[in-house]
Formats: sequence, C-alpha cells, structure tokens
Amino acid sequence: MNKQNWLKTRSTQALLLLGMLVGLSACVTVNIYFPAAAAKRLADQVVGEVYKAAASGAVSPSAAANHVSPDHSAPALTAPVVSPAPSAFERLTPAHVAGYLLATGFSVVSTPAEAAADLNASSPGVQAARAQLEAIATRMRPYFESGAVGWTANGLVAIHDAAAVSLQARAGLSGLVSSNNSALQNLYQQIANANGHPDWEGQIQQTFAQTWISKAPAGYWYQNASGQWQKK
Amino acid sequence: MPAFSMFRPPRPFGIWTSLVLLCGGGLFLTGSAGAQTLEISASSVQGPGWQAQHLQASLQTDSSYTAHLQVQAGVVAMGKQRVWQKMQGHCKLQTQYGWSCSGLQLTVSGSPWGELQSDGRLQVLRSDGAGSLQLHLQGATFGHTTLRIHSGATGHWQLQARGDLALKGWVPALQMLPAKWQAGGAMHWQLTSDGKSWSRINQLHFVARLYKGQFSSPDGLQAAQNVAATLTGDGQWLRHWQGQLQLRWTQGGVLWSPWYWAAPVRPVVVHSDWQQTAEQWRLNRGRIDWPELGTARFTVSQSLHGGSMRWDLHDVDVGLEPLFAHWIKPLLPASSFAAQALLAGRLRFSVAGVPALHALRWDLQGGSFSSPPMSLQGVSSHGAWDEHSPLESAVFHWQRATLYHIPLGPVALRLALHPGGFALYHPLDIHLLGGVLHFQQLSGHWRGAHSGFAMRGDLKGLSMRSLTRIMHWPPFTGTIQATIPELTYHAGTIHTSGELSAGIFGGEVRVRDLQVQNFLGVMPLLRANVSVQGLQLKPLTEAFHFGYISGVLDGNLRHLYLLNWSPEAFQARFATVKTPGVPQKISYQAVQNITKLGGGAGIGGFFQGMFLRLFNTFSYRHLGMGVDLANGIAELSGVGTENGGFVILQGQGLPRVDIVGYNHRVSWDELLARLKTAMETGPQVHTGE
Repeated sequence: MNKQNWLKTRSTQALLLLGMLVGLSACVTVNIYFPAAAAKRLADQVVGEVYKAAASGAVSPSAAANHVSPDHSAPALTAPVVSPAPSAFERLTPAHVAGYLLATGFSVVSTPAEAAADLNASSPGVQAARAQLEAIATRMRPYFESGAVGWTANGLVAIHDAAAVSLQARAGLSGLVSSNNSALQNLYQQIANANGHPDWEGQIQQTFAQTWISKAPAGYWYQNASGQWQKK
Repeated sequence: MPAFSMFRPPRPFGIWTSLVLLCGGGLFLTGSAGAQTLEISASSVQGPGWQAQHLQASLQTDSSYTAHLQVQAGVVAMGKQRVWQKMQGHCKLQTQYGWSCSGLQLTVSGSPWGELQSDGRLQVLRSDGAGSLQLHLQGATFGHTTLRIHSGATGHWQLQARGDLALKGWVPALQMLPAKWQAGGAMHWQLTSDGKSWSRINQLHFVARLYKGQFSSPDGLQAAQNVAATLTGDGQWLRHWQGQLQLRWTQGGVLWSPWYWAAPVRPVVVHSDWQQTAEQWRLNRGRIDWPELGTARFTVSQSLHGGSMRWDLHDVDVGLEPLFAHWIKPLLPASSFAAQALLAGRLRFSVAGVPALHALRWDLQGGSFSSPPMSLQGVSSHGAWDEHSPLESAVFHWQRATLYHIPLGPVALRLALHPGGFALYHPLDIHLLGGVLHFQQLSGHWRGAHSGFAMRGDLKGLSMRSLTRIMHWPPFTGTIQATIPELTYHAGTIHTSGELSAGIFGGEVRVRDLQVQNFLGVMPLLRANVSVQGLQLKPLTEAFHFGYISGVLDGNLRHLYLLNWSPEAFQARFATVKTPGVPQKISYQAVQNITKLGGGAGIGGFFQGMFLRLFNTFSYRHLGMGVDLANGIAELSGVGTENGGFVILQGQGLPRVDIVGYNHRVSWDELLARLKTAMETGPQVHTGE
C-alpha cells in the first residue's frame, strides 16, 4: 500500500471513528452533580481562614480569594492591556479533538458526564457570612480549647462540657453557640445560593462538617458519626 | 394548719390499744418466773397519707417498773415518698416515776439519707404530766440533728432543734431540684418553736446558714458555686401565720444562663414580711438592697386555690450601667449592636406581672448610651406602659447624639404607647449638618413575626460640605434633599419599600431596592440599585479636584453591594447626556486624570503634551465609563469601542482629544488608589464658566 492509499484508508477510518463518536457524544447528558472536590477545596480554604482568624483574633472582612480554584490575580492598572489568551478553539489540534471525542465517547458508555464545576464563593452574601463567622470565631476559640464546646457531625457547634469554663464564662455560652450556628447555617446557605443551587446546602454543610473536624487544632472536641464525643 | 399530735399516756402499756388499724397482726403474751413478754405485730398500718408495713414491738418486763422495749418497722411511706426501708430500735423503759425511755438506740436503713443512727432519751413524768424528749440523730449523708422537746403539764411545749446537714444528701432526698441535678455544700440550722397545746404551734424562729453551697444542672448552664448565705425567719400564729424573712447573700456566684451574678463586696439583703392564710401566701413589704446595683421594694402573692402568681417590683432605684450589664445585656445576641452598648444614668421604675410582665413605669435621668456607630448623651425619659391600657405615653429626650460621627441635634420625642408597640404623637424633626431629618411617621412593634421599626419622612438641606468633612470624603458642596417613603427595620435588616431620592450636584440620585442586612451589627451588607440623573459635572469635579469637566451625567449603579460599607460588587454605567445650555468641556488636568484612571500613563509625548497645554479646555461629544466590580476586579468599559479598546472620552472640534482605554481589567484597590491620587494632584483649572 502506497502512502497515498494508506492516508486515504486511515482518513476514512478516522472519519468513521469520528462520526461514530460524534453520534455517541450527541447523546450525552451532562448532569451537574454536586462538585464534591471543589466543595472540599472551598471548605479547606474557608475553614483554614476561620481558624486563622480565631487564632490571631483579627477579623479580615475582605480577606481572601474569592474563587477556590481559579486564581484571579488582578493586573495592575498600569500593566499593558490584557492580551487575550489563546482561545480553547485555537488550541485545538487533531490529537486534542480525538482525545476529547474518545473521552466523551468513553464517558457516554461508562458513566454519566459530570460537570467539572467550581464552587463560587465570591458573592457578597458569602463574603458577609464569612466575615461574620470569623468575627465570632475569635470569641469561640477559648470555648473550643477548653472543651466547653465542640463540633457536631453535621457542621455545627454544640455544648460539650459547659463546666469546663467558669460560671461567668458560661453565662453567654448558649447565646454565642446559637449565634455561631446561625452564622454557619448562613454561610452554607449563601454558598449554595451563590452557585444557583440552594438545594446543595445540605451537601455543602456535610463537606464543611468533615473539614471543621479534620482541620481542628489538637484538643478540640467533636462528635463522630454516631454522635459520640471525641477529642482530637 | 400545722399541728402536732401526741398521745397522753393514760396508763402503763396502754398505748398498744390505740393503734389505728391492724391488718393481719397478732398479739402474744408469754411469761415465766416474774418476767413477761408482750409482742405485738402488724403486717400493715395505714392512715391518711401514710402507710407502715411489718410493724413489730416487743416488750419484755424485768420488774414492775422496768421493761426492755424493742421496735421494728418495715417500709414506711408518706404519700409517694418512702421514709425508710427498715427501722429498728430499742430502749430501757421505766415507769416508776412516769415514763422514761432511756438508752434509746435507733437504726434506720433505706432512707433518702441512707443509713441513720440515733440515740437519745424520752421521759414523761407522771406527777404533772410533763415530759421531755431528747434525741440525737446522725447519719453519713443526713448529717446530725439534736432535738429537745419539753412539755409542761398544761400542754405548753417548747422545741429546740439544731443540726448540720450536707446538701448533697438532702437536696435529692427532698427532691428540691430536678432529677440529675447535683448539689453540694453544708448548712447549719437552728429552730426554736413553742405552742400552748400539742395540737398547735404558736411561734417559731429559724436560722439556716449555707456554706460553700453549689448546684449544677446536667448541662452546667444553671449552676452555683461557693455560695454563702444566711436565711433567718420567724413566724407567729395570729389567726393565720405571719412573720418575717431575711436572706443575706455574702459570697459566691450564681449562673442561670444567660444570667450570672456574683456576690458583691457588701452582702445582698432581701427582707420581707410573709403571711399565709387559708386563701393565699404572700410576701409583703419586701425590700432588696443590692450593693453596686440599687434598691427595690416588692410584693409577691400566690393563691392556694390555683391561679397565677402575682408580683410587682416597685420603687426600683438602680444604676443603668450595672442593670444593663448584668440583667439586660445577657438577653441580647452577643454580636448585636445593643449588646456592645455602654450605658450610664439613674433609672427608677416599677414593673408588675401575673406572672408575665403587664405594666411598666419608668423615669430615667442623666442617661447616656454609646455603641458604635451611635451615641446619645444627656438622655432622660419617663413614661408608662400597660398591657391592658390601649394608650399610655412616654417622653424621650436627648441633648446630644452622633450617628456615624454625624452630630444630631437635641430631640424631645413624645410617644404613644400601646400594648404592642409605639408611635409618634407628632411628627419629629432632628437637626443635623445644617439640615433637618423629618420623621412624618415613626413606629415600633415588639410583637408578632414583624417586630421592628418603621419610619417615613424626608431630609432637607443637609450640608454636603459638612458631611464629606466628617466622613473624610472628598469635599462636596451643596445640600442633600431626600425623600424616604417607607423604611422598616426588622431582625437587624433595613428595607425600603419605595424609592429614596436625593438632590445632589444639581441632579437627582434615586435609590431603589435598598436593603441593609445586619445594620448596626458586625459586617453590615447593603444591597441597592442606584440611578443618577442630571448630575452637573462642574460642581462635582470642583469638589473632587479632579480637573474641570462640564456637562450633565446620567447613569446607574446596579446590583450594588457594600460589605461593611465598602464596595463588594456593582455594575456601573455613567455617561454624559447632551443638554441644551450646558457646554461639554473638559480641562487638560481632567484629561490627564481620566487617562490615568483608564489605564494609561497620561498624555504621552513631549510635543503632544506641550501642544495640548496651550488649551484650557477641550470640547467633547461623549464622556462615560462603565465599571463592573466583582471579586475585587473591575471590568472597565466606555461609551464605545475602538481598536479593541473602550472609548472613555470622544472629543469634538479642534483640537480633538479622545481617550481610549485598553486595560479592561484592573484591581479595584488599584483603581481606588489611582482615583485618590488623581483627586489629590495639583490645582485644578477653573474656566470661569
């Protein structure tokens, strides 16, 4: 087979393959499932900042990056005009196309496609909720450290052993726990709302629940899945 | 009516015939050679409210006047309360000169206080019927008690008792606290009492001293530690019981979440008369003296035939600072605006309830209130509120006030109070910054799901120069006129139902959909849509030292979010509109600043710059800019596009100056810094227009 025939045959095969894959990929339904990985990254970031604020006693309302994954480093005003990055279309090569189509085709026959969504945590509502939580975190820290309060398995705070602090310190404990839980619930709801999925609140809360515990400093108390108190 | 009943010994051993009821019992009499044994047993004996099981008494006589008495009892219960599981006792009974039971030994097991041991002596004289009982009772949990009773022939009797007890055993035994609560501490007590007959107590006096008292609920949110207090009281029977009580609290702390009180240096003293009739019990002419807080008088009554407890606290004279800190502040959310307040002044008030609060009357003098961003000085107020009165009134007055550092003039409010809220009697004016904030309507509701405040009014003549100076903004001139159609405050959030409008720089600013969450709290979040119409650029740019621009500006600021009063997000579009009679001109300085603002480094080129400097102003066709702020990044746009850039200024005539920006995305902080620099640089060029 000469080179020309070989190319012709291979082109025909490639076209057939592409046609088949295009046909398969035309049937793809992209389901926006809860982006667990992005939620985990967001929880890691937010929880880390709240613990940091609690440790430093400082409140930084405008702290922080707003998206979890994309890095929005702001260009300086005097910087040259932002040159547009090569578009996704321009970066396409036959290998990319084939790879994409193969991956798409494979995903069609194996599992439903999952949108690689990132969680948006930049809405003013989320920022306000975070700032309020960080403000309360400073006052909550002594109670966590003494064991008076601990994390519940569902991402809220509960009184573990009020007697661990003085009578005077106990006086405002219930109110503080209540305020902290309101701020937490608000944070979970605001994140869900910011991503257009108020129904994700429960899953976001569960993701945060694990992170509050996993990132908690040693000595903090928490409830395990069966509701038993344990000390980190 | 309290009464003691006691048998009179008609003759030796005759007591055994007076048992109330014997069920399944027996009586046996055996004897030999001068010794006789009498045994009586009953499987159950019961009376109104009590029951005893497995009673047994054995009397063994040694001679005519001496016998050995042994008694034993099974479970004895008073109502549902078991007194003991088992009791055993014995004594030597002598009847030669009356009755004498010496060497009395009792052991009790299974009582609420655990194991008890007792020794003592019982004596009843035959000659005049007088008798005495001396008993010493002790137990590991019970503590110990010494009891002396003396009775004369006429029936007049006296009782003296004293003892020490451990609260750890007594409190659960008497079910003084809910189950699973813990208590501790010790109490020393004394009781003296007497009566003219055994059927009646005529008077009593008692003293109870508590040391290191403590209690705790299972969750630890109701607790006390190291409490020392003394309760003294007396009572007399004069057709009904009456007397006096005094409580002195000298040490320790009490937590009843969310409240916590620590004993002050001088003791807290509560004194009251008490009275109990067939109808009710009552604390009357009560007085509380709480050092470092104030004084109060009180009465409390409770019907014995049901109904609610009635109470009133009157002639209360307290310092506002400790009252707020220890009694009111704990009720407020920790992060709320009010919880951060500092108050001072003297408050006199009276309150009453059945048992919920239903009436209040107050008089406040020399008050002050401070909680950033608000402060009030020279506050006085008096008024009344009654749950059952459709209309009461109140007066509220302050001499000086500030809100966000804005001084507010003196105010005298007259309010109509109704059971569920208040409203202004007359429209109210508050003078501020040369203008007047006029409240046509101001009302509050503290009941139901929509508790909060509502107001409607307008603002006239507020000096922009004063406002900008106080707020450290660039100086503006002119005044603000604003209309506030309906503004409500509920659960920390401000809403407006209509449109706020304000006149500024010859134009009008309208604010719609205004909402401020967590207003006066931590991290307030403002949302609004703002539109601007007819804004005169000349006075505006004069105020900002931005460089001279004349023209009329329209625009809007959509989806504005301010977090803690700093911009968090918005979509802004502003552009000039050609208006007859208003020239559209811009100075060289303004061109320079806009160029920098739009992403350039100013007018470049030596000759270009030198040439343009020859002109004071340039004519323009369009001037405008768009800024979309999100995530700390501002996306810039203009009034048109050109070569991939955005046109900020489109000039006309000669020389013509266009400004085209190419930096579409800038840091918001950087943009602010540049704007500030532009407004602070150099004298502006005045054209005299």
